[in-house]
Formats: sequence, C-alpha cells, structure tokens
Amino acid sequence: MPSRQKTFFWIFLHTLAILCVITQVFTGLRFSVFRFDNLLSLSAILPQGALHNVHIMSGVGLTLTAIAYVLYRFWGTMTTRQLRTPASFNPSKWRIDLTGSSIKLFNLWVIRLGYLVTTCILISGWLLYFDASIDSIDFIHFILALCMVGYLFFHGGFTLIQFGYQAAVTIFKPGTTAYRHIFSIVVSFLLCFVIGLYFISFQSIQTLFVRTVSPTTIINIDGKAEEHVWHDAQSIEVKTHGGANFENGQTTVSLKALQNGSEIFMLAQWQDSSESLNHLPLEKTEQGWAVRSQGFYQFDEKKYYEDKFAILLSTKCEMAAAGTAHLGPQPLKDQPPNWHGRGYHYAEDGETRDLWHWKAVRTNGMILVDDNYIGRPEKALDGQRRYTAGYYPDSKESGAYIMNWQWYSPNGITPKRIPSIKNSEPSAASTDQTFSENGHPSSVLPWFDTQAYKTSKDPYIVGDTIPSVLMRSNRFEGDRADVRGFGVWKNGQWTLEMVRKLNTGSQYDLPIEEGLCMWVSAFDHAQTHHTRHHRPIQLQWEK
Amino acid sequence: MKQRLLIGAILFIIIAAYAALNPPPIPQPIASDRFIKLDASGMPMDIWAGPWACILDQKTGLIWENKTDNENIHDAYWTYSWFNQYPIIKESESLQDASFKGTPNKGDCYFEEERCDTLDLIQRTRTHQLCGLKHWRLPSTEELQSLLDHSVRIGEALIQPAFFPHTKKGDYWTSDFDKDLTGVYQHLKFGALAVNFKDGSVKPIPYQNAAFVRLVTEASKNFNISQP
Repeated sequence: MPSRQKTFFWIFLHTLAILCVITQVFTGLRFSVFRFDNLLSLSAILPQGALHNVHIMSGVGLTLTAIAYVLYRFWGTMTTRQLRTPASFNPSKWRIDLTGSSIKLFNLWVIRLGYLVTTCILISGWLLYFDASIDSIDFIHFILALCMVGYLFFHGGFTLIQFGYQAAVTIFKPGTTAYRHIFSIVVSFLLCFVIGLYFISFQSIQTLFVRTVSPTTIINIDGKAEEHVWHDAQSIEVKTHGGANFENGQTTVSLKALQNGSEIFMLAQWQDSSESLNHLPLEKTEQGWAVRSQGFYQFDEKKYYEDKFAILLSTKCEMAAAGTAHLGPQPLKDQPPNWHGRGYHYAEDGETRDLWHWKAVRTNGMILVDDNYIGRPEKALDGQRRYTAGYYPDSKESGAYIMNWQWYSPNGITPKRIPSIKNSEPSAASTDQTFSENGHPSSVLPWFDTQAYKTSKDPYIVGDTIPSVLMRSNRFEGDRADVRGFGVWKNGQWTLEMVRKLNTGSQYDLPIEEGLCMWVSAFDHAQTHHTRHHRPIQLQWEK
Repeated sequence: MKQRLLIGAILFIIIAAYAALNPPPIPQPIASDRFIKLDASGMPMDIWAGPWACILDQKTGLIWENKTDNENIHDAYWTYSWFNQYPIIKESESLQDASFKGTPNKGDCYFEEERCDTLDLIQRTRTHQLCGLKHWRLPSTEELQSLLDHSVRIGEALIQPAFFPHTKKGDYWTSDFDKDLTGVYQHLKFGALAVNFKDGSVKPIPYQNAAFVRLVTEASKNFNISQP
C-alpha cells in the first residue's frame, strides 16, 4: 500500500472496479450453477432473480473502468502522484509493514496478475456474450472468475489484513486537492456507460430474415426440409450453451424462417450426438415395476428423457429470454422454491411470451409442438408438488398422451397398460416396443396396441422394459395444438420443421410479425436443463 | 497484523458456515385447510401422496369420489345418462323396491356390458365400498357447486387440480331432476341439472345426455379427519 494519497479519479475507478468485480463474481457464480451443480452449496450467499442485466451492466462498467485505467496509466495525467500528506495523517504507524521488500514484490505481482485476469475475463465474457464459436468459452470464463476470486482474496483481503482500516481510508479518501474534476469525471463516465449499454443492446440483436413464399407453395412438415424454398431462405447460426449432456454443454442451432401471408414456417437444426427417445422407461425389477430415472423425482431428469427443443417468442427483446429467466432456488419469496435450484421462468410485467416446446417422444408422433406460454407467476396451489411460476401449457379441449403409471413414486409404480400380448411367451410383449426410423427404441405406446395391466397376468420378467408414454388420442385439441412440427434425427443432427398461423387469435399466443424477438433452447435427454443464448433473434421480413 | 489475520479467518469461517448451514430450500408440502386425500380404505394421506380414492372436504363435511385415468369404474372419461332411484333416499342401501327416473344406459364406459348410467356407477361404488363408505350418491346442485373454483388459470376446469385431477371441462350430473327443459331440448320436457366445470354454469339437460359424474357421500360422525 503506497503511502501517497489518491486522486479522486483513481478512487473513482478503483471503487467502480471493486463494485463491478464483486457484482460480476457473485452473479457469475449463480450462472455457474447451470454447469456445476455443486455450486448450489454456495446458494445462501449468492443473489437470486433477474441477474443477467445486472451481470452485463457490471461487465460494461468494468470494461469502461479498465479502459479508463489504461488511458490513465498511458497518459499519466489523471493522478497526482505526490499529493501532500495531510498533517493529521501519520503513515509511519503502518508503513512498518511495508519494509519487507518481499511483501512489496508479492503485492506488485498480485496486482499485475490481477490486470491479466481482468483483461482475460473481460475478453472471455464478451466472447461468451456475443456467442463466439469457441469451445468451452463458458468454462474458460468460469475458471477466470475463480482466478478473480483469488485475486480479490490476495489483493483486497491481503491488503486489508496487512494494513487494516487504514487501507480503506487510503483507497476511499481523496487528497484535499483532488476534487477539482469530480463533476466532469462522473458525468464523462456515466455518459460512456450509457453509450456502452446502448452499443451493447444495439449489437446484441441478431436478425432472422423471414422469406416470403407463395401461399400455394407446399411445404411438408416432415423433418426433411427438402423443399427448394428452404434452400433459398437465409439462415442464422446461434451458439447455445449451458445445457446438460451436450458436449461442453454447447450446441449450435441453425434457423430459417418462411411466411406465406397466413402462416410462418420455421426450420431448426442442431447438433446432438444421440437420438434420445428412451423416455422414462418402465422396468420390471425384483421388487416390481419401476421408472428408470435419474433426477425425475426432482423434475430434473438428465438421463432417461427425450430430446426436446424450445422457441420463445416475445414482443420484448430483453436479455435472458425476454427477461423471464429468474435464477436461484427461490426467486419469488412468497412462492415455493424450485426443486433443482436453478430458477423459474416468469414475466414480471405480466405480458405473455409464447413458447413452442417440441418433444421428440411425446409430441413428435402427433406432428405437434406443445404450445405453451410464459406469463405472470401464478400463485402456488394447495397440494401442488411442482410449482412452475409463469410457465404453463396453453389450454386444450382434450388429448393426447398420459404417463403409463397409476402414480409416480421413485420406489415403484404400477403400469396402466402393457403392450397387447400376442402369444404366450412371457417377455414377448416387450418386443412390441416401437422404434424410430433410426432403430432407436421409443417410449410411446399407442392406446389400441395395448391392454390394461393386471398384476395377476403380468407376463414380464425382471429386466424387461415397456414404454412410459400412452397415446390416449392421436393429438391435442384446442389452443395447445396450434403449432405443428416434426423432427428427424440423422447423422448427429436434429432437423425440425414447424408451422403455425401468423395469428391464432389465442390470448396465449403472440401474433407473428416483424420485430418480434425469439430465443431457442435445445435439450439433450434432459427434462429442464436446456441450452441458452444471450442475444435475442429478431424477425424481419425479407424485402 | 496477526489480529487482522485472525479476524479475516473468523469472517471467512462465518461466511462458509452460513453457506453450509443454509442449503438451498427444498419444496415442502403445505397442508390444505380444506381438502384431505383419502386412500381406498378411507385413511387420510399425505398431501403429496397418491393415488388417492376420495377427497374429504372439511368445509362441507362431504367426501367426494376421486376420478382417475386408469380405466377403472372411476375413470374420468366415462360418461353416464341420468338414471336414478325415485324418490332418492340417500341412506337407502337397497334398490329393489325403488322406482326409477331418467334414461338408462346412454353413456359411454368400458365397465358395463351395456352402456352406462348414473345408477351403474352408484351401485358399483356402493358395492366396492369406496373409501370404506356405502352411501355414495349423486351430489345436489349446491354440493357440486361448492367445488367450483374460479381462481384457476383460464382454460382449466374450475376446480382445485391437485385434489381433483382429470376433471373434464364439461357437464357433471347433480341429483336435482324433473327440471323443465328449454330451447332445443324442450320437446323432451324434463331433465336433471348439471354443473358445467368449464364455465361454472348450471343448466337442465335431458336425462339421456351423456355427462360426467362425481359421486359424493357424507363423512360419518366418527370419521377421523386428522391428517397423517
């Protein structure tokens, strides 16, 4: 700790850096829970709620602080290095700790490493924000954040231990002649901050151009995208990250869109090394039937689950899924916590965000996408075990799938139905399981290919499995069936075609029009742990 | 400096201990102040437990049949024409001497060789002694209306979903009969009242209509309503 007093500008920058770094570290660690479940143990000291804006704003603040500090050091005009020490100030009492040259050297190198870490973390953070195509960029950013925690300890903590409250006096109390430029400094910085935020928000939007096609153009919703109109449409690629089971948690989503005046067609393709259709299979065990699962009881299945894909549409273009991502175990203090600790989706402003949720097992066979929405957080209902805040399906009149158990318990279940027995072989029924085009088993049982389960006539042996999804009718009817879609997995990639009326008239759907923003997420056999991206995608009609 | 080091270490330990002693909250069941699930023998169940056979309404003292989706006689998909003993004697266990009102066998279900009516469900439920009770019957209009809950999300059936799952957004029969029919049904003269769980309306519909049913009975005086 140098004995000289600091200028206001130095104190201003240093204080800003402290605030921004602490904000970054704590909000960043909350984000890291998505990748490292163990970090949930720190949950009590981490913030909750809509943190993305806070993280990005503090990132802008830290970036400007870093730039200003570089300029300050470069020109050397913004500090008074030899301000007169006030008479009341007697550093001799604590300067004694500085006599050790090794401590000085240690402090010097800690600060130099701090500069390096700060530079790297800002670069990796902005690369992450702008969805740079760098593998493991979120992991690199996380490691740098841990380095920053180390820096806070060795620089801030060590200085405080070394010098006590005198250190705080020094870094927060300017010299007597240092106030000359307070106004211009603060105003200049605020101006830069606002310009920085504007630049970030302007740069943050990606545009998906929607090509107009003739109403007579036929587009089959078959997951093949072989129509020539798809080849002519512009595509964008969106790097998504933070999802369970994907390599490095990442997958790149390619998007195209067409409209014919009454309908919009969407084409999404994303990498996924496995076609996951083994959705919570029912297995005969020594103790009876059980659901194969790993996390389903906590609504966070990550092993025996179908692949999924989601599109969120909003008239708002805020970060973090139109401002609906609220992180932490209990972001709503007067409502129940969530089971997985990651957070809830809800819209504080109460405006509906449309959500299309395609499911490789439960909706693909119906050639449907589950039409959902995110709205105002609902009040938790008595007896409700899973509270979903603002995330709900659109209403339906009837249909379509039900789960093939009387009541779910991690300790065992009783199936409702089993595949129709076609001969007397005890395990022959399990061969009735359906398979995808790629030969992968599917956890779907068509109702009329099954018979009611009776314990006394159970033909299965230990180890046999049957599907968990019963199709009681062939599709949803009502609002929930507004989006049609079909996906096909081939060579490590899902291709999903979707279509919906531009305006369905439903209060839970948004009319599709220019300027609408959207986000996409992929799920690799994970129930809720999906990938995400920061910047919204805005729809523009191709001229 | 040693003192400050000690203070720093203590501070660190306090923060670490605070984090360790305050793990993320886990959702906890909150008992309803109105409804209690009952198993097939009539014993109260935990609020998150299942499957349950009946629901005790502590507000009215009524016990309701729980509907299912497992194809047993209580499956919510089954529909029934209105057909009941006349006069309706709630406590009667014998139907042999009763006269009948309504239209038999116009509903749809799998558990009858012929088609279904309300009396089929009543008789079977009494025979099975659902929840250990014998006096199952159709609810009155007021009783059925007491289940209407307009606080649910728009588009959902107007009833507490966590206790009354599988409820259809359609007409449910009441025991109130001999009601004048109007409009397109006028030529059929009389019908019974039904409560609609889509919009909460009450209207007379012809006996021959296929509508849903949720049976009810009274909790006996010595019924144990203490929760598990």
